[in-house]
Amino acid sequence: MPSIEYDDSKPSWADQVEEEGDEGTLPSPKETIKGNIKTITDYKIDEDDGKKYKIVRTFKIETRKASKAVARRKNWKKFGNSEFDAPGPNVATTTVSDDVNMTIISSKEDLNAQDQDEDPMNKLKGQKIVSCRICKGDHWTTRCPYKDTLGPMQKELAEQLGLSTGDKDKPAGSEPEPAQPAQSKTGKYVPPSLRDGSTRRGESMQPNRRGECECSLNFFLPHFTP
Amino acid sequence: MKPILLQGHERSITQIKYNREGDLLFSVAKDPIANVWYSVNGERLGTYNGHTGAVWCVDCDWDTKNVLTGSADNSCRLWDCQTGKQLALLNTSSAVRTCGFDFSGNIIMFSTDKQMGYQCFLNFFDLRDPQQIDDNQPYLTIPCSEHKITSAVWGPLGEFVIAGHENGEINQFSAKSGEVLKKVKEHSRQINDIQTSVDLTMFITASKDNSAKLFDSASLDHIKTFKTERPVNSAAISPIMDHVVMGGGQEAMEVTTTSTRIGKFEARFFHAAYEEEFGRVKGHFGPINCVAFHPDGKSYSSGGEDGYTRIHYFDPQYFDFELEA
Repeated sequence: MPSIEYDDSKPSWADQVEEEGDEGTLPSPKETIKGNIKTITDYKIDEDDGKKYKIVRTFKIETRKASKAVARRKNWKKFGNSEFDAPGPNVATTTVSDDVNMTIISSKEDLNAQDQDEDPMNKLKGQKIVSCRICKGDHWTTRCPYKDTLGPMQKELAEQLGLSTGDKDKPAGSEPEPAQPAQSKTGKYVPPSLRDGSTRRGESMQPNRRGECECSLNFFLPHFTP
Repeated sequence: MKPILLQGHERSITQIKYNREGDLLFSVAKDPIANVWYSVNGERLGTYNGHTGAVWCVDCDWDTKNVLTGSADNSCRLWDCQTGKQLALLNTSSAVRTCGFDFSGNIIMFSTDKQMGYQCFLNFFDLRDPQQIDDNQPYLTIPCSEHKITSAVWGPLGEFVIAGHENGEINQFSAKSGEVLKKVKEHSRQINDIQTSVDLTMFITASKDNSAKLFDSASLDHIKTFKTERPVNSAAISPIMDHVVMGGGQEAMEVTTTSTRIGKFEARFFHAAYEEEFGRVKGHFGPINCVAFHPDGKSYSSGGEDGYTRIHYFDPQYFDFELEA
């Protein structure tokens, strides 16, 4: 079976070549047949590195018995794009790939288990990344399934707790908001202007009525003296 | 096992087929060249040059004398297997999607796509009558107006053609009269590939509905189903074991990028009777488009979207493997 090895651990042949300086820079390819092992030695210069490579390909010559028709076909002359190919596999078209093994699946569960071990996402699932403020579940607060029921209840509880403990607490310390936003008990943000006790003064930009000129354009004409 | 990698195509493989003895493997792809290889060592024997568009299908007769190819260049061509010479050119009005020699090698069938205003047709030519070839007049043409044929094979004894359609239905078209002998709809989506068993009594269909199904050729009885999570592009029945092999795509999420030397797309082996998956073989860098068993069952090949064809000779463990029931 063909195999490719890069053998550049022995610089001696490259030095030899440089010393002798024969046939340009590369020695000619060699073919030797020992028993049923055929070894082809090729030399090439890699374009990117500029290094010289000696490529040794080993083939095992097998003699197989086959039916007459099959044997006849093995001796057909090559045609089409392979017309000028040498006998034997052409490197451009045929290579031996790396070893693959058939992974045996004894049961579907085993397969899933394998995937699970490799899956880092599953490792994260075990840890506590997100927790909901309302029900402490494995989701974000805004996505809580009990948003409508548990949410407002929790707000009220917090309110009551806040009002009752507010006197006892130090004023500089925790202040659980004595002035609760009146309009929203769902925990949504209410701007200061819309809260209870707001005057809403100075919030909106009113257009000028009665043509009041708050800003005027003053013209200073240049004074011409003859 | 050490697969042999065949790099003869520049575009994705569309179909691969062994000849009857299995010593030759034909491969065609979306580039215009059809290749033929010695399956024993992957050596390329030659190429059939002449098509000008993607080649969708290939078939070889029982004698390995003639090769038939169908292409998107609106032609179906007959070639001499040994020399690569083009023997006949049959022009069509739309792309040729499937083709095949019957059991005797005398009659060829091919189907054309529903394209550019032309319907899908199933054409039959008798090679013993040179007049048909010269005049480009098939002796029988069957129109399929509703859902085009996406895959077709000859049934036993050359009596009918089993065709799979775009909508998942399977029809038996008589090769003599052209009428529909039997029809069945077991798949819900397009049938991508149909392959017969070695003795032509059964066939397996690979469908976009994520399953492959085994049928009886004569009665179209649905015998077995093999389910996966992805569309199945191709399926084949082992000649000597109770196995089927299937090739298809893969969830993009499943493909990890740890190693670039071996591709992650897998061929999946199912036990034919228990309908359970027992093995997977990785290697392709893209979805597998076609799988085929060697007629002696000791090896199989797969052609992928990556343009490579891989020949795998099974390890001895494969033949000893028994599924625990």
